[in-house]
Amino acid sequence: MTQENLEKLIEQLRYESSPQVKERVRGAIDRAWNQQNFGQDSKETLPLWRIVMNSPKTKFAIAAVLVIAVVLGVLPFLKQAAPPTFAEVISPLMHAETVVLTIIVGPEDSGAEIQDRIKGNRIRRTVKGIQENISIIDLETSQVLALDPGSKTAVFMELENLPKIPNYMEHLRNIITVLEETEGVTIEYLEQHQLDGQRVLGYHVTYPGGEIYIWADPVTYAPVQIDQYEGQMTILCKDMQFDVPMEEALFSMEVPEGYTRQDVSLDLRSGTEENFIKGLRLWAEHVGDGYFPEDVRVEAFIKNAPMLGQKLEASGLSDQEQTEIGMALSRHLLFIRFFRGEGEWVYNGRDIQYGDAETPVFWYKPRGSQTWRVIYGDLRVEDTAEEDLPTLMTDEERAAHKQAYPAPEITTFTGTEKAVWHFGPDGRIEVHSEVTIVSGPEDAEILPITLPYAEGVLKQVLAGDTEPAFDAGQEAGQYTIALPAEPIDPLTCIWSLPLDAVDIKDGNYHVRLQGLIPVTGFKLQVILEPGCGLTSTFFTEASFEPFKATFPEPKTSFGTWHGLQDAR
Amino acid sequence: MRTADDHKLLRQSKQGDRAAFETLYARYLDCLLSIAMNLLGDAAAAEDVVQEVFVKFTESLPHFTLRGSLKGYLATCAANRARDVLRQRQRRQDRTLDAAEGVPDGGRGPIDLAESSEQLLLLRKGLGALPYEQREVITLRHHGGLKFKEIAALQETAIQTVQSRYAYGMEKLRVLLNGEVAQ
Repeated sequence: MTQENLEKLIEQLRYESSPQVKERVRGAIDRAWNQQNFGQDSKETLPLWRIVMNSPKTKFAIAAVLVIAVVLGVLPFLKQAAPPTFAEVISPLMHAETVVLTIIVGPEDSGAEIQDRIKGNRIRRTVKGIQENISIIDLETSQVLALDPGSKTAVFMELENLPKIPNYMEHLRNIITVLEETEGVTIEYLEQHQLDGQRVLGYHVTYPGGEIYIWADPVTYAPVQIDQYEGQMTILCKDMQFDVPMEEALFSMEVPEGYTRQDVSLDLRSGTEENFIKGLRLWAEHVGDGYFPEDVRVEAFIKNAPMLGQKLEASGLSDQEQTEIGMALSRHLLFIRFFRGEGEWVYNGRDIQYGDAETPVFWYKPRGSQTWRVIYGDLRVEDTAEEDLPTLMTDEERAAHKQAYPAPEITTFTGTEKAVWHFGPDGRIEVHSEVTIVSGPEDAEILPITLPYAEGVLKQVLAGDTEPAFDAGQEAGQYTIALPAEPIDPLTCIWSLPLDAVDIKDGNYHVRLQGLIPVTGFKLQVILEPGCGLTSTFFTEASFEPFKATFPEPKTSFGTWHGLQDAR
Repeated sequence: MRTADDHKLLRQSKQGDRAAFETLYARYLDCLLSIAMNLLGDAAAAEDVVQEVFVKFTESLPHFTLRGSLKGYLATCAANRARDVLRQRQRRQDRTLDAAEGVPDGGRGPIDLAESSEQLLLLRKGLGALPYEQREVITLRHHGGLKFKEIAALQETAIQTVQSRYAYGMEKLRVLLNGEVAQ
């Protein structure tokens, strides 16, 4: 028998597990798996992202976060450039004038997906799946221009104390080359791998506090993906293309004509303990219904951004106040972002209420300090020796704690509403009420609504692609809607009403301004269809938005609008 | 060719993606069973080894950093655990696994050969009869995909020693099989 035949025979000495063995081992793994504290999954988000991004106010707060999360994700490597070692692999990076790439912050299958076009020191950034969301970042002047073509609004952001990055491509190059100069870095060559079905080679770089994989085409050596895992932060750069022609106009920092401009600034050195604490408080007050965030990592913040958007939208705060909260939360995020591997930190705030003086929610060791800083639920801070540090609560302890200190029970639904009234030629009105639920009782299966008129008849309910069932209530105009199991985009209730049911005073129709549920925001749009015989006192268009309001507390009824007259 | 996208699956597993981990588990379960069975020749012990390797791997996931191939890492873990089992048995003066009789050779138990032939059964006996270090080198080389250098690190010996063990072991197996064929 030849050596080759013997080797083949040995390789056939393979054993197969029976289903019983598979199940037994899987059962043991399950038990071990359930003990692990993996990061919170973010499986939903894209539909919610769309909701958030429909709101120009919240869009900019989140744009600031994305700038911080991604642009600055690699700043710690900004030292003196060193001669490249991966010369062939990084050659395209070293010589390309433009790059197109996709950046994913958070888990690959559910993280926020950002698409960048890079030309020199400017980046044109969009978030996948979100219409009308463009940020142009100029790293040389440290400015960000965020545009919303839909509402024709622009936010011009000055990033203060952004380290000098003369050219973003240089910056990318530095990430790789400088690694070699960093103490504690190991570089391992990974040959013949597959990545999404593509044959690649790569480098695995580990450094104190993180690791980077650089995957490249084995023939051209062009990088195809860069994965950075830093502490509790994940950034993936993929679908990389080099030297794609790009027009200069795509990177213009000029606010387009006709846009409303708002100016804000963000100091990148403002990630202080004070700002971190302020962010905890703002989150509990405006987003977490009195509770601190589940997690303080950047990707968790991004995951929760839709909820932030909804809460701010429903808060009744002015645009300026909302932007201020968004910027304050960005500064809160800067603390975690830059603290990173400098020292250890532990977050214990999940399910802990703001004001809980007994429970520590966060503790960290500042660089060079002998003691730790411990932040309690009432947001006081104490210096604590290492041996006196608290311990992270177990899930059981946390559940028991929450049970002992429950949040006030929510018994009613609240939300926001946009009501579109179509006045038809047949003397009837069809109203499309888009209701966004902001809060409601846990595990509720039905949503009670009340139409503004007893004569109103609910005809159809839409939730995305589904049509939830509904039943008439005891009183005229009252209905109950079966809530879908999954979180929904705005629920659209289509109901109709005879024009005769609308009160007329002094020749004007008085349309009741009333939410189907208690709301903190309400918008009325009127559409006069041809032949309806009505005319507006104030508007000449066939479609107009005569009323828009936000309220500090949820309310159901807020007067009437009387701007329609009979033209016949 | 190394196994496809292990790094990506590992990454996803570290982020709590159970499906990704299940893929890794399915990918390497039989490979680890083969290593453990070839080293120990005992289905129940092999099963325990594999279970322990996967459990330890699961427990270490949140802080796990892969250096080299995942297959090589898991194979090394399995080999280390198999050695522990062997030491425990020797301490108990249990039957030695260096005896060919220690290798079950009939019937379909919870774990069995993927393919079966007289030649394979003979090879299994022959492998079981080799000194443990030789058996380990051959098993890790052919079922774990480890390089001699990596096996040398595991066995805490020089790479030349590992190469010699491999050559001696293979020669014995060849003689055994040729002899049987000649009969």
